[in-house]
Amino acid sequence: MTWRKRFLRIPHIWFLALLLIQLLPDAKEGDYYPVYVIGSAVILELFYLLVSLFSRKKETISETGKLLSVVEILVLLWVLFGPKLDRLNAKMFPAPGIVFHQFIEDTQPLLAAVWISFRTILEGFLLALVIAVPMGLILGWFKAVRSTASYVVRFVSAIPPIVYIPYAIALFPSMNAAKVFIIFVASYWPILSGTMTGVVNIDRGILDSARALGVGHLSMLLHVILPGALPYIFNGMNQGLGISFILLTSAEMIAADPTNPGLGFYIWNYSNFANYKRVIPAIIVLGITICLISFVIKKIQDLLLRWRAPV
Amino acid sequence: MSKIEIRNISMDYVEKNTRFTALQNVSLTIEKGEFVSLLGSSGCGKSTLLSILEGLRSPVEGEVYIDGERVTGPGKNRAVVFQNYSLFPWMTAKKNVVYGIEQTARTLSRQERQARAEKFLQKVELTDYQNKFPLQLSGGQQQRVAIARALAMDTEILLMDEPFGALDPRTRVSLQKLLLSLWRSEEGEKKTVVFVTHDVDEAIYLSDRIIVMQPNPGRIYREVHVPFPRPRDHDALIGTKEYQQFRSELVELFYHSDLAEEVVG
Repeated sequence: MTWRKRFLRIPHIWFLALLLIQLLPDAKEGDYYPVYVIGSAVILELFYLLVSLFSRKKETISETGKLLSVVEILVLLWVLFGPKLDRLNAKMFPAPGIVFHQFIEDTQPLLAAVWISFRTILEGFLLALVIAVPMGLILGWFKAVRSTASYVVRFVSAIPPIVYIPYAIALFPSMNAAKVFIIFVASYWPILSGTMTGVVNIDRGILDSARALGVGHLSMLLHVILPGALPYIFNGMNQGLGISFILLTSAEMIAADPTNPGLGFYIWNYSNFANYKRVIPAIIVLGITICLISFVIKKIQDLLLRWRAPV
Repeated sequence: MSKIEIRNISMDYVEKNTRFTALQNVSLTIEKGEFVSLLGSSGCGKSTLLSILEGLRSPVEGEVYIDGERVTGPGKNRAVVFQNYSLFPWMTAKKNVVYGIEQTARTLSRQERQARAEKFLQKVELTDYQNKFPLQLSGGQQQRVAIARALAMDTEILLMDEPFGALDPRTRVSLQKLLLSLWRSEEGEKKTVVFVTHDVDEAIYLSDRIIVMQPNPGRIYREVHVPFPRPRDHDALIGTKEYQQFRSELVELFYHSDLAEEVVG
């Protein structure tokens, strides 16, 4: 790649614009922490320069650039309509510098909240996975129970799991257990039904081939049916995970537990105090956390299902 | 005692409330080390007959005996190659072969199984592809893996259900040659092979004996011994006058077996 192709790119203009916009006078007196905006812009720019310098593929550079452009344009508009023109409600949308500053101030409690939410999801989700997959394999495999089970699953999974929140709070000794249970229920049904669908959809020919080999029951389950159903199991897992994220934040808001404040509680709590400069960082962190978890699951999925894509 | 004895088998299907006879009173004996082809057009029950030998289906009437023992399900004395789907797509070529070996040779150690799988993949010239998944291989390569697995399982009987049916003609012939040379060159006693096909040339080149089947209901029409001595040189053989003569007789039988269907149906 030529020097020009690497470094002569549009996102650098947004970076410069972010610096230059600080030269405009603020609409109202006040400390808007412009240093934090400049600092964030510099960090993004440095990151982009590193990618431009070391990336081997042109696509990586341009994709990263487009993504950074979106962020930079958003911040640019935020600065422009916030402190510079005073068109945004300063209470609901505090200036980006103020938010970024608060972000840094609150790193400690934010990370603690992320960890608590993450642990709740992980516990509920893994529990669901460990129980739903074997059950789905068995229910899907035995014809006698398959159709009855699929009616039950269809009925139960049609119920929005949010209705279980009051029950869970009443039934479980601790809020934490209630939340784990809700995540468990939310992800259990999609994983179970995904697994059953997966088993039913395994090619008859492949099952015949396994039978003809004289494969034993356990090996049939572990080496044939489980991997055969895996694509659908991942579908169920992704669905379950999506619902879990929604439910976790709801559960944390409803089952408010100040001793164990997850991200949902954190957002809820500061919203109640109209402390939006602390709400916005939490929302951003929540988004990033969910993206990261989904990314990790996607990577695991690609690895375990690599046999599906001809190379 | 014959290796395989099929006694008066009948087989029914019920499809959309209509009973349909797939096989009617089929009897056949196959000797040890024999290469027998079941030849017929679609619907003659040749694949159904093979699946009964595999133990995947049970006949409505009649029995199958292998070495004098009645067949009630799949067994460790038989290896199968299907037209498609023989291999597990989530296992690499080598893992597929190893998995097959694990089913019949439980006493082998891990290393021995690995070594055996590698040896058979080498025989089908796929050493460089052993870590590929089936979907990363061509149709011909996949069938070579399936053959390697079937042979590596070291069973006395090899059942093949139109294994080359989905391949292009060139690949097809090269796999026929490979199969025959592997079958002949194996150490110890030769395997008994039952091979289902609708390809006349394939049946002649491979078999000792050809069972021509006819449809509606599926049954045996004629039985023909292939007179050409082994080893057979494919390219030289198909050029001879004797081959052409034999082939045209067989084609005529094949044609008549189908014609009979139209009369009956």
